[in-house]
Amino acid sequence: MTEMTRRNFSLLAGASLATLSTPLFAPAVLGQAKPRLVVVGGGPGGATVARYVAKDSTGAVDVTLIEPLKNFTTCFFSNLYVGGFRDRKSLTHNYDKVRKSGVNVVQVMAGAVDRDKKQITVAGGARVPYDRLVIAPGIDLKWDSVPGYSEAAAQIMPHAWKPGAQTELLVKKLNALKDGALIVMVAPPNPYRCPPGPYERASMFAHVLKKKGHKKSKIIIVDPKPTFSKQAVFLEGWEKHYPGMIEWQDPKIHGGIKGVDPKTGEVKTDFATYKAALANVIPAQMAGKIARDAGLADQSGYCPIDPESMKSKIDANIFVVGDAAIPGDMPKSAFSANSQAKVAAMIIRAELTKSRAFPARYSNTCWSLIAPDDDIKVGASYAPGDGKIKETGGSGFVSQKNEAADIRKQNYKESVDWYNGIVADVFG
Amino acid sequence: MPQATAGQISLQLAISRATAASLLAIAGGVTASYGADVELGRYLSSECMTCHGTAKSDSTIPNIFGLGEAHFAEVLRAYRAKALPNPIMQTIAGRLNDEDIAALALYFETAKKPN
Repeated sequence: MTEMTRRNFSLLAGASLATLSTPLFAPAVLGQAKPRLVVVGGGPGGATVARYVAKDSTGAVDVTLIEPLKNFTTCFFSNLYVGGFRDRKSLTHNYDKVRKSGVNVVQVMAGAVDRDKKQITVAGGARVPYDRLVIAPGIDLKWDSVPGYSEAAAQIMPHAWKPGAQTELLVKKLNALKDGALIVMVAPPNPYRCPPGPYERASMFAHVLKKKGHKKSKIIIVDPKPTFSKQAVFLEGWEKHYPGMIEWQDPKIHGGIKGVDPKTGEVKTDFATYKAALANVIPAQMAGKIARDAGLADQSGYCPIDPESMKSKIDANIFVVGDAAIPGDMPKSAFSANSQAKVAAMIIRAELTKSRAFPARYSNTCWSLIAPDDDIKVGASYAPGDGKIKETGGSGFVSQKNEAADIRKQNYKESVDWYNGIVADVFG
Repeated sequence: MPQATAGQISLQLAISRATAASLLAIAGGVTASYGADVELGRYLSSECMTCHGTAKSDSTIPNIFGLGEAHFAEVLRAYRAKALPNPIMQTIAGRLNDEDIAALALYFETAKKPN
């Protein structure tokens, strides 16, 4: 284990004096050799690992969480903000209680990982040693996966697949639409964050415009995928609540997505060119930059992990949880990230403090709101099998067509209770 | 068929508990504290915390702390047998064996609700 040397400490102290009013990292006290866990990313994956290791080890592990944002607005449930069901404040959480759990939360951007020296450099130059590292950076967007799209283009054709300014831009553009507007959504190819998300979002677009009294506005979804999550019940719900308003096009219909032009607002497919008043382009995705730069990703752009532990297959001292990981049969979701984080936390504690380890178990449920009080869900449980995280046979469930309205209403209430639960679990 | 609320589930089980109790006594029950593994219970409980950690009396997701080991285990077995609705709980309970259920029942009897 790397001791905090005097040189390292003065580097840290220098960085902290320059940038912060409190010391960045607790120096190792002479003679005390607590094992060190460093977690990069304060979302539902990273913050969960940090909190669980800190509280369950009752201080036996030195836990540092590196997260650049002071306040975290959840991407999950952001569709409900788009739909006008939640305000931004209700989706935003700080790290005060994470700190109270015993985690040293440092608000700085993490940089390069030196896997040989087992240390990570942060913005400002400070180097943080680790015994175990958790990388949970979420996703980055593959800008060039949609010809004509780019980071700059996202200021005109928002993806809003990472929360914050992009969500605000999307909401602003949506609410400025006049009756007769055409919204075109370019849905992403697998694998991506939140499989039912684009279709819940289209539902929210339709809800907002319907509520405003639009009679002629339309939403076209051009999808590179032949099918999508909860498809049967989404299609049924759209027909019921927004007849004729949402058109989903699979590759057989559109013949291929040719590209977008942010200057003209055009979305081109082999079938047609659409001039969109609002184009919501959700490109292909990959693991966040820090994971890729650390050499933890494979050619898919995501990070292979050991299903028994969430350890990187590339470095046994590093764990990858959440959207950046290759999750086998699990979807990329906050629920999954939080579930994976607990397995990682257990294994980390076992390795660092000799606590007991148990066989990994995972689960996921995704809820999607189609219209007020009409919420659908899908989920399953998972365990290691066939070299991956494998869905447990017979465990899968999905909302059914023609379900009673009170079941769909109950689903919505359940999803709201789940949100309250998960943010308390993640952020304290 | 209307979805049962958590309150209704508890009531239904309370009524059947009198009958079940005698069966449990005969079977030796899976709820005996002796032999139940509280550390296993703690690990398994981490899955439960996400939804149940903030549960209030008026939530759709019930408070599962301090219910009594026997009642807790009964409810999980009922979900495992799909005798109670809610596919999420059926899925979660579906992969719990008797040892797991005993461990969880013991853990939740003494654990403090975090929120």
